[in-house]
Amino acid sequence: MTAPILAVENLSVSLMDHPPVPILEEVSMTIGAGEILGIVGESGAGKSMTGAAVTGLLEPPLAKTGGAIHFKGARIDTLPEAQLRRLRGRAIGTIFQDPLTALNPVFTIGRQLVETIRTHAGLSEAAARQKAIALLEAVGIPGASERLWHYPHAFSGGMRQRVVIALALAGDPDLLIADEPTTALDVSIQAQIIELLLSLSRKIGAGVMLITHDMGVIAQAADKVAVMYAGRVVEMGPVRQVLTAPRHPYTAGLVASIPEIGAGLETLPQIGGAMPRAGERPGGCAFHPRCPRKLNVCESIQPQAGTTASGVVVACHAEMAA
Amino acid sequence: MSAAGAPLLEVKDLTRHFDVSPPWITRALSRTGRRIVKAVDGVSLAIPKGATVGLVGESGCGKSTLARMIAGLIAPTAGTMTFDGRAIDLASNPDAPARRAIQMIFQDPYASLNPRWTVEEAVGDPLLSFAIVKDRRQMRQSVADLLDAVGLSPDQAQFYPHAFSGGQRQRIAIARAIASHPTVLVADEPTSALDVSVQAQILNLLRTLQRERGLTTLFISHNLAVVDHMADIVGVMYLGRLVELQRAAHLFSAPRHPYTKALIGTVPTLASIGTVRAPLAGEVPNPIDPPEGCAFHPRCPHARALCREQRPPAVPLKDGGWVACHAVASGEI
Repeated sequence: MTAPILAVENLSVSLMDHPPVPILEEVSMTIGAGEILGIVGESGAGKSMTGAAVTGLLEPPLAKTGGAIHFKGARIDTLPEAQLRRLRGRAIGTIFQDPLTALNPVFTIGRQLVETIRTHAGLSEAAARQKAIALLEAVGIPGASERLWHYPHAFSGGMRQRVVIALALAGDPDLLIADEPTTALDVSIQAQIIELLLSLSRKIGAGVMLITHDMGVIAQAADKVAVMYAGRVVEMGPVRQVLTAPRHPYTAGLVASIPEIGAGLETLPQIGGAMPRAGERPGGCAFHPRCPRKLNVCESIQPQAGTTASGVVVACHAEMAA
Repeated sequence: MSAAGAPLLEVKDLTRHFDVSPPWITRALSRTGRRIVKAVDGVSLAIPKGATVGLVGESGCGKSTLARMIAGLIAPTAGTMTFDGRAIDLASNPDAPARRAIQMIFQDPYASLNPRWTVEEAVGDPLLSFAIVKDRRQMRQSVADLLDAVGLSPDQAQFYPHAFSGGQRQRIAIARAIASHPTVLVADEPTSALDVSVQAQILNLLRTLQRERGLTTLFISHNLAVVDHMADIVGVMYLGRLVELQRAAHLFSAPRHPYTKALIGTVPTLASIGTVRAPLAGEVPNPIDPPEGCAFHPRCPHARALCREQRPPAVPLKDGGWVACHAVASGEI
């Protein structure tokens, strides 16, 4: 097997307070070429933080306190900022949640695209413009050559998100980080954008880190899924395995609590309580106060991730004992 | 509707227009007319006593505007609303009994609670203003009971909203909404700002309260699965109009309107792992200048000349409910 596009090993990030507050703890994951890894979890689980750490966008007081990040076999978390900047936007493209704030309202989208392309590829103005038109066509914007002259406000939410995707593709990236790319969009538009992301990543063979709180998006788009809870990956594996036969009690509770059309349930299965905030995480397994399968050991010892026969990585004492 | 019981709440041809015109000087100089958004355009709907009617649709379809008119936050441009057999318009007329009986829960519990009011002040305010309690001592007792009913500890009554998580804040908002013993609850996207595990808790709480207190509910959400879980009858809105209304079981198993079908088709399920379905091409048109005839025709696979010219009337369905679609009326689909 060739080296994965992205390999994150035991990444830890803390808020450097006195004492430091752990935000991410020993997060590990890999993304291969053309593979879509979904990262799912509730607010505050550390999904976006993982994406930010990979792109080197952690700002003080946040700091990496351990682990390593490899991109195409080379370590990138220790690179100086100048080299990291060259990587970001070129080899690693980013798509954010809100397409309105990701675009600069005072420049035409053509100007923004051409500038991005020229920064990364060193093309002439005319060649960059041709490439910008090609990119807009690739993301399904009708009348691309005219639309170059328009400002972001003239685009609808779905069309803006397509422009943002075009911007992310401008540097011919090997890795795309999409942080809640469809959360601000309507359901019918969401399906269009997911379909676009899927076909583009397959076409250019880029790995995708798809960060979302929506299990439905994961089910549609991802090959692999990492479920995060309180700063840790609690379960990771092929989407079908994890969603249809979840091993970790948190994943099981999460999947069961999603209403489904035609289920006709009187009450939804629910997980009691709420995810602890960073800094208030209990000792042992952070999920133990809400866990229906809690053992005594869960209160004191952090479960280590183990790989099951079906290739799912799960960090749970009860599952390992079973 | 075939549902049992006379309607407790009914709206007829309810319409709300918003004037989004530029200033008159701009209009005069550029020789343009006024620009009117028809947020809600002639919606008729009845909610039987004790039932839950769900409304679904994409952003800008007018579902929140409809809810706000019923709850009395904005006045309708035209049309009538009746509650318990008498006309109401809470935004225009003081009508304490109806206002007490119709309460609302909002989407964002971070915005719907005043950060300077303690939980006791927020939940106790309707008790005092509707004179449901005689004094503050009684009010404290009632607030404690209400907090208990929504799954919060009465000890937390003196805390401010910032001390609570999103799900807990939504519980506080629910406690405030049920404080005045309402008969109608208008819930506008009550769980869309919440995480899924918290959403399940809040939906279960709402179900329990509905059952215990016999609440009649208008439940609005963009999430079809949530509406299917909560509602007895479901209405689908598109560009300010109701396009289909059926019992939830029928609507989700045998949708008739092409828009409803497409909308249900986009919902990801565990059974559809690895496949994306985007049956709806294009986007919702600008409500300032909606398409003539059936507003859905530019995106509709069954559109024909008639759809571009005439607004389709409501066609009753044999299992109850109705659909507004020329293709269904002519028996084509």
